[in-house]
Amino acid sequence: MSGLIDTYRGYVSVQECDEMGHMNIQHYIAKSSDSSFNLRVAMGHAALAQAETGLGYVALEHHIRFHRELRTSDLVAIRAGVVEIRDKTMRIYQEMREVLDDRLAATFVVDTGCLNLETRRLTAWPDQVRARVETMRTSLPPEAEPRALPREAMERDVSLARADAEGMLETNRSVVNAWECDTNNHMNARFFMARFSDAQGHMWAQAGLGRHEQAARGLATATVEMRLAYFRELRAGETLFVRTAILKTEGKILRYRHWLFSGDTGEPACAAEGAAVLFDKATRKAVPLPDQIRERLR
Amino acid sequence: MTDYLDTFRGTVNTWECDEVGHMNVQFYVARASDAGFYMRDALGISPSVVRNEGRAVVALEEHVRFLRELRAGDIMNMRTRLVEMRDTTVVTFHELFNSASGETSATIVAVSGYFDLKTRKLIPWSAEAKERAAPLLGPLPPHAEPRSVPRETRLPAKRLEDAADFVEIYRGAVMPWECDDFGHMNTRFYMARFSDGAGHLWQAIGFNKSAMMAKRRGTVVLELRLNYLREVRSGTLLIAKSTLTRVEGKTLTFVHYMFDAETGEAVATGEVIAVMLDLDARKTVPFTDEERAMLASHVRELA
Repeated sequence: MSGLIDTYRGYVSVQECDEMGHMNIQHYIAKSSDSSFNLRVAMGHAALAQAETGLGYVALEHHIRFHRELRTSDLVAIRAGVVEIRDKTMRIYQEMREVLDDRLAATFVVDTGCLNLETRRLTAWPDQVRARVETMRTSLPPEAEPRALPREAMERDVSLARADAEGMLETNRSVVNAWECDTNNHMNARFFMARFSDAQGHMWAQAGLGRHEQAARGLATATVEMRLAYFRELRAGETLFVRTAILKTEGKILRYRHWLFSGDTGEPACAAEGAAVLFDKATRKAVPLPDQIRERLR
Repeated sequence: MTDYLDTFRGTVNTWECDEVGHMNVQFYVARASDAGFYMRDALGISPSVVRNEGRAVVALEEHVRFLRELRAGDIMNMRTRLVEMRDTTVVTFHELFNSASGETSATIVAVSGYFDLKTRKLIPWSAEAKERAAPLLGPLPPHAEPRSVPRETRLPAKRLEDAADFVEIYRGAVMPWECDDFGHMNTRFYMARFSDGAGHLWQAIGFNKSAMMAKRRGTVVLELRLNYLREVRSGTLLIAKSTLTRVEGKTLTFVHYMFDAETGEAVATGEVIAVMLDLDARKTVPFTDEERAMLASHVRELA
């Protein structure tokens, strides 16, 4: 089955780890983004050829499963292939492993589009790309299939009016910094995830178990699965804010939703559905959610 | 009743914390920079206006009082209002809170100017901006008033060659990722250089950082003022030079000058109140008589 090729090889550095003692989720996306640039070259759609072809490459959706924590000094490699190619989009599979013990660390299903850089709209893949993709075909393994977040869990009717109506609370307010933008002149996917990561502390405080109380109880939190849909580019200097709803608990899983809006226009830019667990910092195992959180969601 | 604007909400990340175990000063400056985008937007200078009309707002001075530490994982938010609107400049008050406790972590009083991105000069505010500013104006609360470092003042003018007897605390260049969408180095990275360089100054006045850390002593800033004198672009060579100007009780006053190494011009200055901290008790520590004598020999009056 495997048309997977090597697209990333790197390392988990201290500054990529958070107070939970593991690599922060934004760096999974950062490494996935690096992997995409390598895959692009392999399919004859290199970022450096953009000026000539006028064609870019843009992430539309991510479905990520976080299988194992990565800790400082772990070695990381990503292999990638193409699951399906359509007229203007394709579905890519990326598999992230820790190199020394070959542990599966994360799986990414990335829906990607061919972007016309002038009109900023999707356009058909060039024939050359179609031909090259045939040699990198793969299929999705069971570990990459949705688990805590079924495909249909993605709420697509996203608007500020709905966020107000649903009582979604603000968990981040910030701005796109120039250094967060990539060769497409828009905010790189990593920094959408960075905003959601920063929003989690506010979300857990709203759930009734803030970071200080977690620390006092020897607990930390981890995202186990996330689905993201990108609707709109964000440019340097553009303001943004995140609204969050805690949806429900399912066993040890807390389900939540983040909607990221342009602060300039109020338009939705990204929606994310997430599943998180609380875990014991010593045993690194998930623990049942405390009653206070269940009570609050009743 | 004056309105406050919500201008930032986020979380303290481990990579924003330093060896003292709290959010590093450069990220307070970064938060004020982020908050500035919302403040501008409230004045009608939205990002699309910035892009289409080539107008921006630039920081000229920032006065910061650090009231409570923020640790990794703390959630925080910023509220902002205006203190005074002048012809081409505005005085803004930002207050950064620990969102869980509601306590103030820092106050930042910023002087910034309306800026033409083409001529790179300050210009008068539009009537619209003045009108929009009116409901946001209010007095500066007492806890944001300067304590040991005066506000709205400048250090004596100096060029690189005038600071020959200062301690060099930084030498490097401006990288593209340190520049913002106005095409110049973002304020955070001025502070980053003064903060990173402080270890060299402490070493020069007799305090070895690793020996201090072994005794569970850290160094922290209580109050500071930054003056931004010139824009710097990607690729600019920078040198920062500093000296100790005063020892009073438990506090030291440092002054920092940052120069463009090519032209010798000063691009920014800082005046900083620093203390030693007991890393376990999280309290300031007095200097011993021996340390005071050593410090006295390094004090230099600013001419």
